[in-house]
Amino acid sequence: MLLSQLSSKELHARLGKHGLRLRMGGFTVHLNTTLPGVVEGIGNMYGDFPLAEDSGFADFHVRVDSPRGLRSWFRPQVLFSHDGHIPFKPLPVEHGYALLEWGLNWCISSHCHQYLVIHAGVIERAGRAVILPAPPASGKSTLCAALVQRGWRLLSDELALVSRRNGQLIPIARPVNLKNQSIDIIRAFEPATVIGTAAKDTSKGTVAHMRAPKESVARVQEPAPPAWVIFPKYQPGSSATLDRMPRGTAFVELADSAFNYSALGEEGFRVMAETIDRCDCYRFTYSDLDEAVAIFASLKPSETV
Amino acid sequence: MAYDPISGDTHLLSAFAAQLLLLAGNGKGSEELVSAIAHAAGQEPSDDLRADVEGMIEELQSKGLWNRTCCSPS
Repeated sequence: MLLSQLSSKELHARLGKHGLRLRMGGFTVHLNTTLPGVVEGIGNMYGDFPLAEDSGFADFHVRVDSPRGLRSWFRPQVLFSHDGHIPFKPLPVEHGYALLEWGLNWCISSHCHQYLVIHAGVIERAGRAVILPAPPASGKSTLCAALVQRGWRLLSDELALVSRRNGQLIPIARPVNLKNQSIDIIRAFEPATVIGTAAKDTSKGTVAHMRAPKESVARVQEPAPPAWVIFPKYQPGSSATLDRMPRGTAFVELADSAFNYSALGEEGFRVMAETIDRCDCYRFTYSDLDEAVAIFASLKPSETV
Repeated sequence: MAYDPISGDTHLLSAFAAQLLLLAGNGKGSEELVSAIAHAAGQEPSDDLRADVEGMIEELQSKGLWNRTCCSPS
């Protein structure tokens, strides 16, 4: 059963009482919230995701709710908790859905050491995946959002999960986190895109989430082998250029973007080295999304681009 | 690339250093390393090459990388 098959009333009731177990690729998340904005966000963004059995195992037990007390009346806040633990300070209640998404990222990046977890987008086409690592403000999510609207499959916007067993990239296909001008840029690029309510004045500016394409969610059990590591950089006014990068440099920069490279020790080194050895590595500078899409369409699985 | 399992550090190596570590991993001694590298470069072993190899081994030893690293061709 998909989440979209629940009525709005059922969704509110289940999230507010015993919670809802939602399958996100290889993870099951047990979600609880009574906040209307968060319920609406979950309904908007996760409609194509399957529900898990109510009493079944969940990897993460997550609650997003307002703390009790006087404050909830004059300046309501929201807290994220995982297994009863509260890892973050409260935020204004209007940021509840964004906090849920950030919290889920934290759950996975802090606990899922069965993977080498890298802060990167991952997209796939024709059975080969691109890893898009980048620091904030590099245009990674904008690029990722545009490419998945033009035929690439979304595996993840934020977290590249590299299997330690076979080096495959594991999909989660959660919503794409858009910030500031990117929200309108993606709306204009693809008017049919479903973008949720924007949270203003967050620590990252205005934030809104783009719903993952239906097909990406439907194929969330299909891992993909990495074929390219591409470090994107949005540079206003630049034409799109793809420049080959030495593998050693790519290794160092990708390791810098990993959450648990050091924690995995020698195993992290092995998985990272195998990933880099399977990939062609590039720096990509762009300003125009159509140009960027054209360059990515010309990527060939061999050494040539 | 080389990984030091004692310190947990990852090192970006020159091609020469990497080649030396990979060859050393096959159990070659210093003179054998000189011969192997000369052979790979299509040269005869020379005193200059010997000095380069010994200098690089010293540098790798000073960083704690000699005889205990995991190397990747990356």
